[in-house]
Amino acid sequence: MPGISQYQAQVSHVDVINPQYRVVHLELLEPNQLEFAAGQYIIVDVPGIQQKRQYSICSSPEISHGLELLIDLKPGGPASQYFAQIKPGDKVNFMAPAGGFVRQDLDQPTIFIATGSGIAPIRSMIIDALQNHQSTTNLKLFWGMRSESDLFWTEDWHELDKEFDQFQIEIILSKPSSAWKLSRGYVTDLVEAEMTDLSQYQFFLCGGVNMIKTVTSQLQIKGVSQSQIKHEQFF
Amino acid sequence: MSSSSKQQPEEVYQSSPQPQNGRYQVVVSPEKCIGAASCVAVAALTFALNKKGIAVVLPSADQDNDDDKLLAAQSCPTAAIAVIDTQTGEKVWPV
Repeated sequence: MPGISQYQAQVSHVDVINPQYRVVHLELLEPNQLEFAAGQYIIVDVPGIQQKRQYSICSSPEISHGLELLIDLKPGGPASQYFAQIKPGDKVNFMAPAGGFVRQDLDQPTIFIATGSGIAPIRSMIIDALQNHQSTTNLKLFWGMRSESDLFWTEDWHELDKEFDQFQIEIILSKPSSAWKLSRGYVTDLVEAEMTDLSQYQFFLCGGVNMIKTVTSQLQIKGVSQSQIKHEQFF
Repeated sequence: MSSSSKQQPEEVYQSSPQPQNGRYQVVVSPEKCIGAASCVAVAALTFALNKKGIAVVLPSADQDNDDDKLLAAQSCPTAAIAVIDTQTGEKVWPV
């Protein structure tokens, strides 16, 4: 993987998905190309504070002149406030690429388990596998959210699900409306119900610490070794 | 954020040796570390992840410069790395 460097980018546009989430599209200025592996993140300089903030890249590594970040505004700290107010034309300084939450073996069947904005690096990995590498390996995604109004990218997911037989997605909501016809509960319920032989799979978990601890424990009870599990903790 | 590790060193310190070059000494709080590996990306001679995915300080820490050590500490999402100015004894980070 390439080493880390300092970058400057310009906001090209901002998709306001709902009150909590937005996608910030960045066009690189200097350097104007970024090579990264799907699943990696950038370390953002937030104006006014010395503490840096990490944001996973949710776009495909095939696009090297820019990148997309999924921003969760819920934490409400200085970085959330910064991204809540960011607009096209604004400059963003960051270091990249960073992190080892990366699929080393693209041929190994994989189960991705995400909650909330933990979907960001996983989106990049799934797009990279299916569209860039034409992977025929079995890929499953379990994505847990609270309610229908929190969901996004659902059409994109269902398109991928339809187009690629080897990809399956299951969305589970903890507080859905009565109209929700699909799974209710938590990703841990999906893991509990998973009956596949898991010995051939690798697992990528991304989300809050409680989900990661619980799912890791569930998987280990099902005979999955620690070496088969990678996680990226969001907080 | 990630449990992966590029290096899995056997011989590590929780804090760097007294610096020969520069003046900053870094100390990792393992209980705060979540294995995000930002420190490894920024100052690869100073930090690595151990087999448990927790940051440790390498014996080669002395070869990284003070700016990179401070930047690595500031890049840690959980502020698990303290930076001490060995000449004044003051904690430079977190402030």
